[in-house]
Amino acid sequence: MKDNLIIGRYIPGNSFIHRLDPRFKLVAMILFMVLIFMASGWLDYVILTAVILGLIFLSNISLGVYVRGLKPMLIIIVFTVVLQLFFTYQGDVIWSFGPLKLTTDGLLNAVMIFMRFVLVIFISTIVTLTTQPITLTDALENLFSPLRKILPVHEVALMLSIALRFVPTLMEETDKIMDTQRARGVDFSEGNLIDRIKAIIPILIPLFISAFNRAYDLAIAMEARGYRGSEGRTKYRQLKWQRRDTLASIVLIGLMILIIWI
Amino acid sequence: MTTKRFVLLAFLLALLIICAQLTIPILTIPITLQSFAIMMIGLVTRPTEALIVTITYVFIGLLGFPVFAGGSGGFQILLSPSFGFLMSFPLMSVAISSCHHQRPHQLWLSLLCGVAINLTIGWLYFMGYTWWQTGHPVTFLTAFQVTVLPFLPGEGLKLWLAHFVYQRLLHSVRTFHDF
Repeated sequence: MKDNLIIGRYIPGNSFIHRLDPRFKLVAMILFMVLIFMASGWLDYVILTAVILGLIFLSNISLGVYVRGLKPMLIIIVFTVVLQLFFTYQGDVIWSFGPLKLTTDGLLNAVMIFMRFVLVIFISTIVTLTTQPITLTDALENLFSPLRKILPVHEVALMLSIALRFVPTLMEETDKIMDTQRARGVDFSEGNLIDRIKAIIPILIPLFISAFNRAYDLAIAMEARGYRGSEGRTKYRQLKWQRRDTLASIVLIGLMILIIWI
Repeated sequence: MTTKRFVLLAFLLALLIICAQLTIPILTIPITLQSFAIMMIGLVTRPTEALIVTITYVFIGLLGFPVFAGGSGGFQILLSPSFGFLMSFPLMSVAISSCHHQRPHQLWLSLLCGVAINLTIGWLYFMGYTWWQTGHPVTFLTAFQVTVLPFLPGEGLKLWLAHFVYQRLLHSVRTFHDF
């Protein structure tokens, strides 16, 4: 079980990237995605790769951490690259075997799609490694606040904060339940499919009941402390825009102009 | 919506995140409980609430929170041929929730409705994905064999599991109806 599923993604540090305003980081991440998808020539990719590697350097986090972040996506990357390599029928055929055709265009497309995957994963990983989840939630609430009239922005942000806070607790609860059941003879790693399905039920039912009990207790406690909804509340955690955020914004705008212009 | 309802939604979101990490380790295709949790959310909540939870889940996953199966997350999921399944979660949960509210005693029908939507959207998205990637379409049958057939046994089991767990939850001391 991953006890640090949410908490563990964030790596504490005091780098320039860590100290940027999370709202800027979120918007910048989205804009980087757009740039990566807009990129069409090799020079675009060289520039974007250089910039993202520069950001990785600035974050003071080892490149190995970012490369390990590729692992969950490995199967998808390989699948897509292979799809590009052997099923693109434009361009000169280099090699073929039945319906499989390796072409020059397929080769170029495969390299491009691979670069896209890696760059997108890296830019996403930079944000999650250098920003605490609760801070990202604050940023999301702030960025979505113009939609407050039509969407329950505060309530969803609250929901997200509570969920992130309780994932480690419920994860721990899951481990506890599993250990308890093991102590009473349940084996989670043996038997056929039906046995394994049966073994998971003693985990799920107590887990759901425990979650509902905690939810009820928490709701009562919140109301007892005077929570009545989003109106009329102040904020303890404040996000502050700094000069370095302005500087980073200018650099980002410059990069966008450069990519579009080339 | 009251405080209690939103706190319930928060805990359902947390359960969804956790279930996505729980797998039943079978030799061939590992079965995660992600879609099981979507089914439970559909059964336990109203359609609007189910929509809020599942859209939030997909949204934060795309933003990079590691909440999808295997601790994955990030915008690159959009580039994945299986993103259709994730994309279908809001629709799947709303369908289960709506069916369940209209026909409370036909649990199987509600769950089947949701699973059908999930697999259909995954199927169609995969076809669109391969078309976009290679420039020529793949047949319905081929896409069906890749995206629907291998998942039918697992989905069937999760469907039964959701039915069973829901029935048991109805008899616990404190249920979701208390909220």
